[in-house]
Parts: sequence; structure tokens; C-alpha cells
Amino acid sequence: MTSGIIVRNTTVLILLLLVLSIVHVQMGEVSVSFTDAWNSIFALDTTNPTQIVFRELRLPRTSIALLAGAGLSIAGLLMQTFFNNPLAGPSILGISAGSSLFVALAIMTGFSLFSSSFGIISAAVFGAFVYSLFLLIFSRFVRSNVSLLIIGIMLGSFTNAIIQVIESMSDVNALKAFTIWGFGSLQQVSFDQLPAIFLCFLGALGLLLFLVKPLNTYVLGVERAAQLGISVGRVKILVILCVAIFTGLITAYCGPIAFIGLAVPNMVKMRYKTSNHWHLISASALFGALVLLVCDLLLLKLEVIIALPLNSITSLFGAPVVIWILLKNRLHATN
Amino acid sequence: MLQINSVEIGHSSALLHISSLQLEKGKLYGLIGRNGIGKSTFLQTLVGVIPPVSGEILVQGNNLETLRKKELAKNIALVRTSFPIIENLSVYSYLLLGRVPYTNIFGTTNAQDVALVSSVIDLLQIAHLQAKFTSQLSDGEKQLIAIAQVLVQQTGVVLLDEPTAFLDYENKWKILKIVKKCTEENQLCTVFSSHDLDITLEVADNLLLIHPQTREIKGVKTAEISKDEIISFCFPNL
Repeated sequence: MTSGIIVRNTTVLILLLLVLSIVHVQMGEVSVSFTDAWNSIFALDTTNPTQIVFRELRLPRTSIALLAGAGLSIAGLLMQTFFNNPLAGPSILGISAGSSLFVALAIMTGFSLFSSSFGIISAAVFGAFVYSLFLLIFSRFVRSNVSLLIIGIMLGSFTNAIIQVIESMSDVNALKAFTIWGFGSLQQVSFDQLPAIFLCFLGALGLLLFLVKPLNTYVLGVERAAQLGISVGRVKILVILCVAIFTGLITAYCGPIAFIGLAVPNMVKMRYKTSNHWHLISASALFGALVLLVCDLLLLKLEVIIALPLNSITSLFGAPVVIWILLKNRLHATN
Repeated sequence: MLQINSVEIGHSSALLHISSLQLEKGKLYGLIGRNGIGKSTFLQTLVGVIPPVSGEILVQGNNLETLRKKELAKNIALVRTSFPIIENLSVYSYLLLGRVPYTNIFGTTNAQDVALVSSVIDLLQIAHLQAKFTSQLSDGEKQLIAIAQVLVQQTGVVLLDEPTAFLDYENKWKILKIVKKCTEENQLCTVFSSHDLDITLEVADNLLLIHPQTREIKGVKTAEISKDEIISFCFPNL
């Protein structure tokens, strides 16, 4: 794809994101004027219910939809290039499950230190980190992509089983809190938490800058990348850190959101037809934000008829994409 | 260019050994030996992927094992037998990746890098391939652009692991003639392994023969040995 078309695509994505963000932020009973929106952030009038609604409900929900969609898609892209496997992603390889396990431990062990929001985030990031390390260790022993995938899926179901054991031993309130969290939701973030989330997100984006060149070289295979002077050990650590921060951060606040990290980068690759990670990362981030925003818009629209968890919407969207990818690869193989 | 002193090669135990070998620039070396004897292991050792079991390998006077990875990447390159499966990478972008050891931390290429890629494209006459995706190429074309990428990498030492393995008779000649031409024009030190004895004898200046029993790599000038002598040295059971 030529750079002209890439620029055009990116512009369209950004415009769509802007429009849909405004639509998303306006979804609900009250419509918010620009002045109210501005004041709710910079000069809050606590007697104005519109400003409170915007500050505490609307803005956090739209922001986290954008960040979570972008972050999960970037994490998925990183894993796909790193493991040289189009079916890699934070949810399918069990990293989200690892995050969940540590959050379950944090919520249900009942220590107040852990169940504070800081405790949950650090538990989720730590869980994602530990599970990425597991995968890395396993990937040293299995050469085949399919084996790694099966290991990831097994790791995920094993972890979910442990979570169920913990659930069965915990008290009703903790169980309820954890179950609601597990549905995946964009409503659990408050305005005060946004700056910290933005900072973590920007930090991971900063790390990402140093990964673009290695990832572009990794498409030639790890061995050739090493031969071209890429420090394979450092790349490993950076990839794990980035994936853990993105996945952990988002899992902590939104629950384990399925399929976005797998489906979005693959669709971007099909559309953009490039291996240049400057383009792939920015397009995955923009398109991922757009997809999650649309999923949440659907959820809000359907709310009057049926209250669906976010995960069922993303899976409704994601599962057909995965089947499509498999079929497409199959067709390639037989041709 | 390359100085090998009493080196033992292998993954953990010694598979091959070399008492002394000096490889010079502007010369094309043909590596001949049985299947599975360790030709690929030897080449991977020279490029620093596998550390030698013992002994020292000097690249332009510097020890291979203490040389920094990025410096090594400017001195020595290996083309593997099989071409990787890459989706959505154009030949031009593939060639530009040969500049990775020279670019900054963000991988920005400059006008000189672009000019170098153009000159290699001209040298190998592959202008018609540059807009294609690597996945669309034939085996002969893949081998050609793999060699082109290594030329873009501008290393003094170029190693080719069975460059003629998947090619038809015509392409085998074509590839090795190009390799010979580049070796002479760019004053490279080039080593290739091959099972095509006749073509190898025709193009290589020197031969590196691996004895199946002693597992010693021995260097000889092509002009000073006959085909029958090579066969009885490398393949005595025939």
C-alpha cells in the first residue's frame, strides 16, 4: 500500500473516531453541551447534574473505550509479530486469564491493601507479566505455532479452573464483585483514575517507540533479526513489558475483554498490506479504539431491550473474524 | 578476512574441527561435505549464532565472540537455505531491511541507504521485482533477493548455505555466477555450501572439504585437486 493511501486511511479513521466519540459521549438521557463538558473537567459546578454525569460517567466511559481498544489491539499486534503467529493475542494465549487470576486473588483474599484500585491494577499487570513469561519459556521448547497456541489455550482454561476454585471458596459479596468485573465493562472507571491510566498508557507507548525497528526486522525471522544486530534479549523484555502493561491495565479496569487483540491487527494487516510497524501500530490503535467504541455503542443502544456484557459483543464480532482468518490461510495453503 | 585457529564446532560437543584456516577477500570458497556432517553448523558458527566449542575465530583481526552484535552484523552475513514466509512485505522494503545494522534506534533510512539499495537492484538486475511481495516470488527469485539483501548489508564476509538447493539447472548457474561476480567486484570473502559438485568446481576459487571420518575441514585450491580426488576424500564409500 502506498503512503498516500495510508495517509488517507488514517485520516478517515481519525475523523470516524472523533465523530463516534462525540456520539458515544452523548449517548443517554441527557445531552451535554460543550460548555458543560468543558466546565465539568476544568471548573466543576457540583450542583449541576449534567456536569456530574459527564465527568463521572460519560467521559471516563468514552476514554476507557478508546484506550482499551487501542491498547489491546497493540498488545495483540506485538504478540503476533513476536511469536510470528497471526493467531496470537492477549486473550487467546491466556494472558488476560493470568491477569484475572491475580485480580481474583486480590479481590477475594479480602486484604484491603489488595482490593484498593492500586492493588487491583498492580495485581493485573503483575499477572499479565507472569503469564507472558510463562509463554516465553514455553515458546523456547515448542517450535510449532500450533503447539504454542494450544499451550496458551490450555494455560487459559487451567487458570480459569483455578479462578473457579477460588470463587467457590470466597464470600458472596466478593464473588459478585468479581463476576461483574469478569463480564467486561467500561463503566468501572472514575474520573479521578483517568490521569493515572493515561500516564501508564503513554509510558507503554513510549516503550513501543523502541520496538518498531526490532519488530520490522522480526518479520524476517528471529535468527535473521539477531544476525542484523538486533538485541533479541532486550526485545523480549520490552515486548513482555509492553504487553503486560497494556493487557494488565485494561484487564484491571474493564475485565478480560476477548477477541479485540486478536481480530483487529489481522484486519489491519489485510487492509494495509504492509509489514511496516509504524503503520501497523498506529492503524491497529486507531481501528481498535474504533471497534471497541462501536461495540460499546451497540451495547448502549441495545440496553433498552437487553443488557449484554461487553464480552459477548466483542466475541460476536471477533469469533467470525478468527474463522475467516483460518479459512483464508487454508485457502492459501491449498492454492 | 577470516582467521580460524584450532576451532572445534558443534552445538555442545565437537562436531567438526579446523586446525588452521585463513579465508581471504575477493575469493569464492565452496564448502563440500556429506549430508548432516555439519556444514550449516559451521556457517552458523561463523556468523555468531552458535558459539564455537573451543578455539578462536577472528573477523578482520577481531575475536568473533567479543565483537558487539551490531559490529558483527556489519562484517558478516549468512543467507539460509530456506526463505522465510513473510506476508505483506515488498521486495524493496525487504532489501532496505539489510540496512538495519547501520540505521538509528528508530530504523530511519537516509538517502545513502536508498541509493545503495538502488545500486544493488541494478547490479543484480532485479528492478522488475522490487514492487512485488516476497511471497509472490519463485524460488530462484527468492534466492536472488536474499543475496541482494546481504549485499545491501555491506558485509566483507558473505556466507551462503546451499544457495542452489531448490533451483533448476539454469538458476543454479545464474545464482553462482552472480555470487562470483559480486565476490570479485566488491572484494568479498564468500563461502557457499553445495552438493552440486560440477558447478562448484567451475566457480569456486578454493574448496573447503570435510572428511567424513576425521571431521576435519581442509582448504585446497580448486586448480590443485581433481573431481575424483574430491569424491574419494569427501565421499569415500562411493
